Amino acid sequence: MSQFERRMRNLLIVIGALAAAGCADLSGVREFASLSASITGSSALSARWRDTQERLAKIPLPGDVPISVPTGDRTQAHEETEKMLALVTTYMEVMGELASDQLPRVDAQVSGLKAELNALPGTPVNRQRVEAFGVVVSLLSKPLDAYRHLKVRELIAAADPHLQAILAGLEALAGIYRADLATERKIVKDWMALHLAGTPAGNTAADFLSRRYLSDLDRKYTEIEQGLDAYVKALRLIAAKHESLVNGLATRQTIERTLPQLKAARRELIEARNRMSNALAQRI
Amino acid sequence: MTTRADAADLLEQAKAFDEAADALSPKVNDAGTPLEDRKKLFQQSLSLRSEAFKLRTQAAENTTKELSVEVAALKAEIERAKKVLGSIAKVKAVIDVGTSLTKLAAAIATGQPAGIASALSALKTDVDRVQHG
Repeated sequence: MSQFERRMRNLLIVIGALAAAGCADLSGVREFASLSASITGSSALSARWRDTQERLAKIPLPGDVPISVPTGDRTQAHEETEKMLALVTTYMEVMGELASDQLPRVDAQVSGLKAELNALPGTPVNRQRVEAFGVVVSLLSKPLDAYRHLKVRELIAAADPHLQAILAGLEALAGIYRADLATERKIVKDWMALHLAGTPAGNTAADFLSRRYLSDLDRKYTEIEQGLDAYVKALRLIAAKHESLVNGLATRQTIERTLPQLKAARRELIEARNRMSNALAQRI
Repeated sequence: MTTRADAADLLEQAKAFDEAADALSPKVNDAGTPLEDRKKLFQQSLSLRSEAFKLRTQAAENTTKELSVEVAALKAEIERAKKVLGSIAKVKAVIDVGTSLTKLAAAIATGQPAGIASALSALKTDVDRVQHG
């Protein structure tokens, strides 16, 4: 074995040890990040809250007098919320990107190279050196994976306290939307009672239609409430799972425990997203 | 600087206005009360509900303001992570050059002109990528 080959072998041993220490499949982290981003990627619930006054004004009172319920200017609060949601979404995207494994896989090429060299009757190029060079390139990607995993862990640990505070704030805001929605629902219910009272006695068709409209409205408000509840549940789940990642990616053992739990949250996050989009589809 | 307690106070006040409006609701819905009186009561309830809305608007504003420090801190972490991603991209590009070099070496070893030309072309692309970030 030449001096070059001995050096190469030692280098490979070091690189291999580095790689074995840090690499793991972080696809669960990527999926969690992507689903979380899909929850925080929409500010439509906040926009709905902002537009409460406008929405109520469109409901005609008996005698076509619009409902005037000033809410104060909600533009600033909505814009700030929109920024927070966008920030959390960007964070999740960056975390997902950092947990990505998109490095080139050159192992197959190296194997091919070895086969080609072995098939040759004679060549001026030192086959062992070419082959060893290929192996080094192949292994270089592994410590880079380890570095990437280390940086994912560092990012999660550093960002967690701030993310927790922001998610708690978004949950508090959702509580405000929920309280507002309950108020809006009562206004519409009282308005409908007045409308029904104004219906001439004996007009059963109008009475039937009004009651059906009221029942339909009631169902829509329930859907929106459920969407908001699902949003809050999703925010809590994101906060809890992100917190679990702070120590959950430290060793192979903790990774093996944490990643399945993360996958288990997948169904709940998808369900929450569906409920949210159903809530936003309701037109009142 | 506002605090979460300020927002909580505002929400409590909003709740009180809502409860006052709720107290009017049975009369608005009472068929025995003349319609005009019911309409007046409804308008009164709207005024109370409006106060509740405004207080919650203020509470939401306070909540977002309170988080400005956390927002700035998370932004800084994101920027740091983006720099790491940039470094990884550079290393990845260097690995790509290494991969192309391996292919070129293989092509030279096998002595096929077409293979050498193709490997050289791939190498040039990867080197350009490294040079131009």
